[in-house]
Amino acid sequence: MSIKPRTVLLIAGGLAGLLLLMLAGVIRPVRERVRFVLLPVARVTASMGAGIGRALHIDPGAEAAQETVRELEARLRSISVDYVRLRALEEENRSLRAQAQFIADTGFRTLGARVISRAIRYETAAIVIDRGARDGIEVGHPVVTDDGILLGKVFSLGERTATVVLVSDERSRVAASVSGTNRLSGVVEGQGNGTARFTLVPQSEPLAQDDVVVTAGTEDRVPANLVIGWVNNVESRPTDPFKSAALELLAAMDRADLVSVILPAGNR
Amino acid sequence: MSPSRQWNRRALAGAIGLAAGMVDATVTVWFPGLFSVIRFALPGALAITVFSSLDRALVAAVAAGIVMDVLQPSFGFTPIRLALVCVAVRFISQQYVTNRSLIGSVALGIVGLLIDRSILVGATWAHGFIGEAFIPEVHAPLWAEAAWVGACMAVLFLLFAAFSKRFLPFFTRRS
Repeated sequence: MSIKPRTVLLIAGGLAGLLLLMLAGVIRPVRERVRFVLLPVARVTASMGAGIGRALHIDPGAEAAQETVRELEARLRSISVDYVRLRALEEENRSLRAQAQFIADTGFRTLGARVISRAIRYETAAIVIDRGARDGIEVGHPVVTDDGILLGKVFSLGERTATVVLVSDERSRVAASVSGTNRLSGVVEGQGNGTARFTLVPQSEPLAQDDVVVTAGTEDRVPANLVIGWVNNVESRPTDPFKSAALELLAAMDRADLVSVILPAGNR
Repeated sequence: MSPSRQWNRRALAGAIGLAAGMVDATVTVWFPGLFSVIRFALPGALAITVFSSLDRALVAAVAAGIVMDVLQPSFGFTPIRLALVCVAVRFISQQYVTNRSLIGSVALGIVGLLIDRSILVGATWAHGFIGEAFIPEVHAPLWAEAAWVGACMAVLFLLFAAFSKRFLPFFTRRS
């Protein structure tokens, strides 16, 4: 097929019209129908892709990994001590709750989902899950790994899929606190490349390396005490009203293929 | 070629586009490091543009683009972008660079990639200008993607030359 400049202009014009329709949201129902048809296949291929991705995952710097292992072992020792102390406190707490006949009800439930696509590179960290508005998901609902660590929050919704912006994404903001304080301490801001910072922490708030940072529970749809990560190093200047800290995120952002969305218990 | 055969070939191109889009949106996105450069929709659409016909390439490009658009977190105007790239590359291959040599095919592939990235930058800027929040499309480094697209085009050119008579000199075709 020979192509002339006029044909190029015609095709370009047609495509520009289609672009305008896309921007105006006119083709949104069509997109939903196509998604409905493709979703079963996407679940299978995404599962295959996750398996292949894991097989291809070769850590480039073995030496750096060794260094990380040593650092983590030291941290684990420190945390083990804290853990023993916490167990003792937990036992005490349990007996006190039993005495008071306290019924713990968080008011939330979880909904399992599969990651069908993702975009994780540089400042962007987002995934698409195979659950959407039809499953009761709303924008802002938190998404956690299978062991309950916060991955991110729902950013946009389709009928059957949802886009989740991960905690490390530059667009991500999560109200957070230091575990055990039970009050808003600051905001976890994504920094891209799998990192995040705990910012806007008032100088009066105690903050130290290895402190565990959790969700504050002050956001409408995010429950308190979802683990985000731990404090790596604190940056504080006496002249600044706030301090900040580099966070080590606990969720394996680049490997999560099965996740859970946390929904209000009455939301079915 | 009979019309039914032409439609069969378009359907085949559409199926190839669907498969390539599905793999790009749900499989290769899991690949770590430089493996993430592996993509099939753009090289596939470019190969069909360069070695086959524009109408089949447009069918494949739009099919792949729609699949990627509805499944990926990013909103990269993919069907429109891929279709524009096919049209531009076809135009260039007819006006400036021949597709009848290995170097020419590789060059057309890389030019296609550059056009794709340019449109993506423009679309991202326009989307940001409108003010709507969106997830930008992510890619491997440009040099790595250029190497991948170039390699795909070279391999496909050699396969096409080996299994078809299109690039044989005129006298051998008559003999």
